[in-house]
Amino acid sequence: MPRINSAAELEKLRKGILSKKDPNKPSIAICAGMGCLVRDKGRIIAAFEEEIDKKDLKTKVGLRATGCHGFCEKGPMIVIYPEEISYVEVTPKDVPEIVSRTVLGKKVIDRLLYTDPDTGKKATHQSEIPFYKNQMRHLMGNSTKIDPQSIDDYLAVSGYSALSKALLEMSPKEVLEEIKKANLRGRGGGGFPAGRKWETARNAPGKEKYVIVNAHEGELGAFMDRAILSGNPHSVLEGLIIGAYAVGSHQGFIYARHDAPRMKNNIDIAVAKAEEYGFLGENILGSGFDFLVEVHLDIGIFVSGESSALMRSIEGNPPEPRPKYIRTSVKGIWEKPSVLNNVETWANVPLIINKGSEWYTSTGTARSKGTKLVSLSGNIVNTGVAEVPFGTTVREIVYGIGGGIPKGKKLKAVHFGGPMGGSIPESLLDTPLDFDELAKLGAPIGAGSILVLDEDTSMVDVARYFLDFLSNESCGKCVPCREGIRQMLKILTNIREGKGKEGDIELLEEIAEVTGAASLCALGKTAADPLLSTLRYFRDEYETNNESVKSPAEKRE
Amino acid sequence: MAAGYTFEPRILGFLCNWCCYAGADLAGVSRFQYPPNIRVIRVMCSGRVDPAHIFRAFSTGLDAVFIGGCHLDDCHYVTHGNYDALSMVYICKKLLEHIGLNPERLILEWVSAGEGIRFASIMNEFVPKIEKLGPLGKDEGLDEQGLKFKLEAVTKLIPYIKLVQSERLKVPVRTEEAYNKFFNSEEFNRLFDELIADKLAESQIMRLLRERPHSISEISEILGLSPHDVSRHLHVSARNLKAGTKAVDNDKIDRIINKHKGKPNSLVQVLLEIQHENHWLPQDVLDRVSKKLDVPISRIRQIVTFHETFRLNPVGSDE
Repeated sequence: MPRINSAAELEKLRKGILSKKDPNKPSIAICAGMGCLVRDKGRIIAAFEEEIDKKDLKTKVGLRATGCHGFCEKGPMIVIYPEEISYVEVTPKDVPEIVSRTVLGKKVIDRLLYTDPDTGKKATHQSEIPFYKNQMRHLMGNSTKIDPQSIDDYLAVSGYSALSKALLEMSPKEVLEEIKKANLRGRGGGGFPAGRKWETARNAPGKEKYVIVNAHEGELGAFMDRAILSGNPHSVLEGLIIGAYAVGSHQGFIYARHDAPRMKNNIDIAVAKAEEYGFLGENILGSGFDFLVEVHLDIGIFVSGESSALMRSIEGNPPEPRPKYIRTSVKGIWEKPSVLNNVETWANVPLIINKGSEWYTSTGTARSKGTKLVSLSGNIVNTGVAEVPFGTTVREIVYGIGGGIPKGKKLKAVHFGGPMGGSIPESLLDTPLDFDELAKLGAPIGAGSILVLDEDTSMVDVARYFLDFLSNESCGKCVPCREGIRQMLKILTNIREGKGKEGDIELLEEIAEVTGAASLCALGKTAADPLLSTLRYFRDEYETNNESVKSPAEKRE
Repeated sequence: MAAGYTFEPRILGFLCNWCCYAGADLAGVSRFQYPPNIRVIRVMCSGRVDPAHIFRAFSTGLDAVFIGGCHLDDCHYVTHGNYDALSMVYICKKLLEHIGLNPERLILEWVSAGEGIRFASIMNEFVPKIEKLGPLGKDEGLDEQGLKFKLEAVTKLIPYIKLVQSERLKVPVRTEEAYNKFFNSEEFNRLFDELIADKLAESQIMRLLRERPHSISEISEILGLSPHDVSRHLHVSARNLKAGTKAVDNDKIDRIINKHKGKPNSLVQVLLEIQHENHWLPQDVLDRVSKKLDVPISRIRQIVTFHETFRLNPVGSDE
């Protein structure tokens, strides 16, 4: 494949790809997201390949293993084009029937359709399933149409058009302004405006600058970055290149997890293909802009998702955070200005450039624009990855998309942001999904993991569980974090075992305050957040725990 | 054996240049009579005599070894080499006893340059004693083959034994009393069994197995060890062998490093990939990576001990 050297060549290539694609040719999109793949160990993909080989349909039927479709609860899922018939919980035994009856016979197999547990209605298309109906899928919408290992599939859904627009029609300054106008906020947890971060790095002295994709995603219960990056890696790559152009960087890094081999494989292929097509390398699309990307893997420690720790890791040092009197966007990797954004943030960039900041700001709340990916887990009917516009209430997410609590139980709390987030009680469910609104309630949105807890959960246990996790993950460099977490964990364990003393809760609050104020990085600063938020809304549980050995949950049993 | 044959022991003497050699010289000049069975090698100090010399002498079939040095605290060197000779002889005697030879075949005596008569009288005592003992191994009931095998096993271990001598069998005070006390103590026996005897047994077992496969009972019969001990030694050496073997060869390491263009910041990626191949990271692999990537070994150790993902022991081992 020769390199593409201009916008015209790119469009010509795109037309060529589209003309080769027959819209009426039947094709099967099989979810190869983490959940589905683990559930059936890739047997369905193999079964389809075998069946198509057996019937000699290789030229007539397309087959692709796509990224996560989102609805993990009902996996493995498949979608059959061109009718877009969606089947859930498919087993290898169903494969011959699907091929003969649906793909060739154009008939729907009723028993494989999704059935609404409330109404008993069957849904033929994904868009009719309540889980999808209430979503706004800007980032995830293409996941069924794309084979993550094929750059042609991405080009067919007008991929890399934003790149050509940014590089050839806009100046770096204009790109930056567009992102700032769109008010794109970092999706990794902090919600810091990406545009401002880019501007700081752009204005920082020095020629060498770096841009980084943070695909570490160590948060417990978060799996949406994985879904994008393994399902549509080119969208993230495109965003990264545009960002590099705006910042003036010529070297990018993707920092991914070492324990997701499929994701790593997809990223490697995407980078290689992008280099081959000329979206990476020298003189990209004839614009004169050079940019290269290197893939780095983390080594399974939570703190390496922290920005300065992550940069230390890329340098080849142990991931220990440093104090950030000077932002990493001024002094990051090798003391050079470095822009670090989350996977989801980068994936938003091509959308903004393509459709404009006005379109982008039309969704969302006053201060949080666009959509947000959330991963639903815990005591919820529909586990999975959902994309909703900011401003959707938590109730809508839990009941409308998530399908409520299983076994008719009552909801007790919704926990945001994993081990460094917070919980809100049932009474606050009508809070809209918004960076600032939720932060005010002591439950910052974090990376977007939503953990639903039913009435049987002990909130003391929840706080203890997260502290236990963090006490293992603290890097140990600064004392407040290392010792503070340990002491809080000790007191909480005592409370939990009924050995609590008078004044324990006050002591907890005091330690939490000091740990929060004195720790070096966000891990220590926010380590006590789950504790504080559960103390804020569920203080009585701590008090009753202190009085009697058993928690409410155990009493009921 | 032919009638009229009398056994003439062959004895090797290592004599210190400053004392015993001069003493022997004086004995000769003064025409003191003593049996002519000793062949003399002059050394600059009795401390110069290495265990390797002694066992080489026995390996070549000599019947006894005599070492003559200056009186303790009279050494001509500030290093007091004769104390080293003393501890060396204690250990060698113990080794001889361990492999079934009479330790009296090795003696160490202090003879000053003026004591010609003392040298002659020592010889007058020593030679008849060895004559009585007979040729090497005969009195002890060892056949030629078995003796050779055992001496070879010890010879192979000598570098290790010297290391043990200087590290673990060191006497803190240089007085004759302290030396005698230490080398006759239970503590010395325990250390010897722990540090040397076990190693010797392992080395013998490995030598046997290298010749041809043996069952545990065969080994225990040949070496006179209990089957339990044999299986214990086998277990230990199997583990050491595994720990010492490098599964990824240098070529593979170099290929992985070249893939990352030898950049020092690719350290973590290189280590991850090597571990992916080998399942754990042996020390020599870390050394090679350190050399190739030009990253100090201290930093590599910092990283591999920081992350739980990296394994510094084979998977499933209990350390």
